[in-house]
Amino acid sequence: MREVSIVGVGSTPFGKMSDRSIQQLAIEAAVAAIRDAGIDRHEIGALYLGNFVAGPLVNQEILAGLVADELQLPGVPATKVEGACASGGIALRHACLAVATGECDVALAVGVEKMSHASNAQTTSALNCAMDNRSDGATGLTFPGFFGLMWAAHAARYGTGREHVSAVVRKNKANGLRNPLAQQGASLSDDDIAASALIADPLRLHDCCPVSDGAAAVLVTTRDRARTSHPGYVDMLACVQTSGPPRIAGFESPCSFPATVRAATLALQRAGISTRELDFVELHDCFSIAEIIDSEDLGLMPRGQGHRWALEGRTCVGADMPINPSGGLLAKGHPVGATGLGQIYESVLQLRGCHPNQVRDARFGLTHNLGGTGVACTVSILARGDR
Amino acid sequence: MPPRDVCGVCLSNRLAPEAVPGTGTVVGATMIRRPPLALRERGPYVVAMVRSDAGPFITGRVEGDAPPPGTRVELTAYDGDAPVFRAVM
Repeated sequence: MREVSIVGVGSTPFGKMSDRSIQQLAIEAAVAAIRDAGIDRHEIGALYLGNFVAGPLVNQEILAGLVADELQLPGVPATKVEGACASGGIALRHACLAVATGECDVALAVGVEKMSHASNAQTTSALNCAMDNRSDGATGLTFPGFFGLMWAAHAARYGTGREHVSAVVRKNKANGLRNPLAQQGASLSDDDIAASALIADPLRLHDCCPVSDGAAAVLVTTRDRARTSHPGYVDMLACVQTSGPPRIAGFESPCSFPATVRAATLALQRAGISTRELDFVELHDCFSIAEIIDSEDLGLMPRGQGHRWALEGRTCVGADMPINPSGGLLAKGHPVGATGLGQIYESVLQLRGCHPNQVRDARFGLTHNLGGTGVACTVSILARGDR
Repeated sequence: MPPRDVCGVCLSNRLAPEAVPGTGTVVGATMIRRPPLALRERGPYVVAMVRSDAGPFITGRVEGDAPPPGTRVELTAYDGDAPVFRAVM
């Protein structure tokens, strides 16, 4: 297998973008990645597109083929991949594999979603396609509900209270204020958060990521080529995908996602580094409590300490383990199929030293993208090329 | 829950249902205030993750308010495919 590096990234802002179609969003991000890499697009040998709910929400499939056609890549295999909210991360893994195996020398991963035009109930129903609808879905469980009951379980086991979880919201919303691509950066007080509407107890509105439109794209090639012709390249030390139980009945614990634990363990092993060497993490905070569970699953702190680290400010930029300097899904937004690649975009900017909320001297970063009730997960470890 | 389609050991699809006690303990519960389309007229309602006395977790609705973790519940009915529990004193 050949080593793989990122040589181009592109992203639209995340938010409500009623003036652009889903294809236009995807193409905008793809073109930005191609220009960033400065390569001839005809060198692209494979395209993978991550998307989750374009079928139910915009009545359009074959997005990979539509994007390949606009980019004028005749004959190039163009594949849509779907793994609920992990679709973007999975698209990247396939692009990396295409280059690593020698199938092609340059591959493009694009992620896109368009959701903001739909009603709350339509969006909730479309996202519920990521549940097993014979069991969890049949009870009327929603994703806010799923994370609400996980919080209740985490609180009973570890004492995770409103103040701990609000610390995650405050940090990510404040980080989002520094990110021009973010949909919902804000300066919030604990009172603002505690006064927002209940969605699925104890989760309130500010605990939930917004509904977003957006796209992100990443261009990968061999490390040998990146080194010689692409300054600012970023090495993919690992890009691991795992699966986990598709329904609550398969869980071992109500406070952990086995797919995350497994992906993180494998990714760190492959990268040959420990969590102590990570300068920042972009993880899947679709809901505030998810950041605490994910950070424990990734091994960033001892199990059961995630809520304390959040409250003590140890996950802020400049502290022990900066989590979601981009604002994360809570503030940057969550255009589902684009999210995993948006995390890579943010990480590449960090490792190039040009992020609007820069972590000082960042050399290693980790991204974590989780789908459904933990049915699919990707963890990638990225490193500055000239480290 | 739901019944498996094939045996996890030998992959046979000749599986028979087995009765288990309809009791368990709440691990976490939530009051859902923004239901999906199919249940738009039904909310708010409570969904809980229950550790059944038979072993696995079961997801089901619970009558009344969201019970705190540790509450003992028993299965009282099915609403379609959804088990409905009630707290037992």
